[in-house]
Parts: sequence; structure tokens; C-alpha cells
Amino acid sequence: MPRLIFSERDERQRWHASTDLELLEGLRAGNERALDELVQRKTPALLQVAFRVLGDLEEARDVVQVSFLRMWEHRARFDARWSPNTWIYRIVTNLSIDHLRSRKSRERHQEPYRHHLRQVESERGFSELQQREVEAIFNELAHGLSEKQRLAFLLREVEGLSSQEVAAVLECRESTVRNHLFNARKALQKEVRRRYPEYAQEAARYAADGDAEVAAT
Amino acid sequence: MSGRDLHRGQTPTGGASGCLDLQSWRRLAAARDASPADPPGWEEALRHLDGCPACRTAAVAADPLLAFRRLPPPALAADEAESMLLRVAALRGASRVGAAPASSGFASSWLASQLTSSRRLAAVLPLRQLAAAAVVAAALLAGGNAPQQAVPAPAPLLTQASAPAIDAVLAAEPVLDELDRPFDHVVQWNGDDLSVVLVVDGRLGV
Repeated sequence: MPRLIFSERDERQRWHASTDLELLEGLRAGNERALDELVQRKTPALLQVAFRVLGDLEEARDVVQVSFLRMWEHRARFDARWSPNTWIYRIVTNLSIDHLRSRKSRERHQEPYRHHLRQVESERGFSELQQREVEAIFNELAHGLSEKQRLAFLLREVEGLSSQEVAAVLECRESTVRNHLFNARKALQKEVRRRYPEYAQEAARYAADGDAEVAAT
Repeated sequence: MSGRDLHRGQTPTGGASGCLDLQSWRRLAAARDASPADPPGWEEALRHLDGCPACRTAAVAADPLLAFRRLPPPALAADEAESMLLRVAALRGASRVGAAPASSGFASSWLASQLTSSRRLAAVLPLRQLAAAAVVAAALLAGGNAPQQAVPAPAPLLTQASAPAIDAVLAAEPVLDELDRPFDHVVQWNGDDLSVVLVVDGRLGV
């Protein structure tokens, strides 16, 4: 009588229902289906982080691909006491930074954004920019930050991680994260005022309108 | 944009719904700009902002950098995770082949090349042909209770001399590990003098 000795579908369903921690423990044990599930589950979030660091989706794909390979090869180093996301984000952010350092064509990516944004601004004004354009502005301005500032701002302000989680990813103290963040905010505010004065004026005008309405009521 | 865009129905310091007015956002933003430490109430305000698009206009007016908060994810393809799965598998295959010791025998290198090219094969062969080929290959390789001499050579490469080498490779590196991607389940049938292992593609509905 034929006997079922293995079912891929059952395996996939089992891993699909598992927690992140269980997945990483499965990964550490060398289970390839745990890796498959990890790829399925984490690809969108990791692509987003790598994309924010690199500003290029295709390069982000390359980095995330290598990150998963790195997770597999270094699976024995995962410690179950860590937060799974911290370990995963750390690998992706480190590889993204390495990639950024080795990239020679940074200007090639910045200039088209700048040109596009100036056109958009002249047509519609900053306040009506769509999310994609805000994203492009972020990519442009963030290039002016140091790596640590950029990552701290990205993980804390854009991705919404807590200071504690950012500190774990960046392997530094929470107070250091706050300092990076503080300096990043200063630098970005300065750049916004310098490169997009319309934006600052618009915000000030809106604030003045709001004051007038509050006074009238 | 005008003051009319302000979020309505809140008290100046935040009403029952948790909405903050412009003044409150400005106070928080100013306090935040003054020190690296987050001011009291900042975390709660951000949590509220994440779920309240109506507060966004006032918040961004008070702190333009809040426009960057929770940017939408990049436009990803619908099958992004699936194609990443294939990319990772390909990279793992390539790194494994690249890491193979130079002293590996001919049979093991031949087998490795066949295994790592299984995905290329999957791209060009119809599923049924691929499944049929896999079933034949698995049945031939399983051997089971049958003596080695009873297994016909499937190709000139598989000589009697190379059979022990293949057994060693199979023992060290399970074939199912490599073939699992396009297949769904494995069934074993033990006859009197032959074991048959069926590797079945679930999409065939068998």
C-alpha cells in the first residue's frame, strides 16, 4: 500500500501558522521551509527598508536577496533571546549601508529627482504633492545625512520602530539613537527650508490661517 | 490649503477622540526640536496620527518632517515574495555549487549540476513532463530492496562504477531537499523486490 512519507503542502501550512520566533528557530535548525516562509513573510517589509536606504527598488531587491542568504548562512548565530525583527533588520540595514558605500553612481539617482521635483513644485505647490513625491523628496534629502543619522531617522520616524528597537538594530545605546535622530531632524529641517522654501512658507501660511481661526472662535 | 482644512471637533488640547489641534502640534514639535528626548505626549500623539489622516494636515504644518512618517511602501509587484523566493533559491544554489570542493568526483559534480539546473528546467518544460521525469528519476535512484544490478542505467553517464559515488552523494545531500520546490508530496510503495518513490507535483491534482 503506498504510504505518504512527505507533504510539502502540510509543511508549508505548518510554517505559515508559526510565529517569527518559531520561524527563526526553524531556520537555525536548518529547515529550508522555514526560510521559504521567512522570505514570503518578510520580503515586502525588508524591501521597504532597503529601498528607503538606497532609493532604488532594483538595488533594494538585490540587497534583500543577499540578506536572506546571509540569514541562512549565519542562522546558527541567531539567539532566541533577541527579537526576530531586530536580527533581521540589522542584517538588512548593514548590507544596505555596505551597498550604499560601494555605489559609485549616487549622483545619477539624485539628479532626476531634483529635476522632477522642481517641475512638480512649479506646477502645483508643495502642499499638494502626492505621497510618491514626498517619498522622492525624502530619498533626496536623506542622502545628505550620515549613515547612522539616516538609519535612525528611517527606522524611527519613517518605519515607526521604538527607540529601543532602533538601538538594538544599530547596536548602540538608546541615548545615541536619540542624538542621531535629533541631529538628523535638524539637518533635514535646514535642507527643507533651503531646497523647498515654498514648503516652509506654505506651512507658515497654514499655521497663520489656523491661528486666525482659533482667534475668531 | 487654508485654515478650513483644520481637523474639526476637538478641544485645543485634544478631545475625547484624541485629535490634537494645530497649537498642540506646534507645542509638541517645538519641545521636540529643543531636546533629543521626546517630550511628554509625543508618542501618544504619533500613535494617534498614524490612525487619523484628518490630523495629518495640522501635524505636518507644525512639523514638516512628519510628512515623511509612515511613507507608503514602494510599488511592489503582486508576486514580489514569490520571485524573491526564486532569487534566494538561485543564490543559494549558486553559492553551494561555488563552495563545492574541487576534489568532488565526476558523479557528484554531474549530480550537483543536474540538481541546481532543476529550476531552469522547470521554466522550459511543461509540468507533466517534468513530473514524469522526476518520478522516473526518483524510482531509478531509490533502488530500495532491488539489487544494484537490476537497476537499468538511465543514461551513459550512470555507469556501474559511478553508482556507489552517487549513493554517497545521496546520503550526504538528500535529493528531495533540492527537488522540493516544484513538487508537493512524496509517496513510497514497497514491492517484494522493488521500492518505488513517487514525487508528485500537487498542481497535477493527483
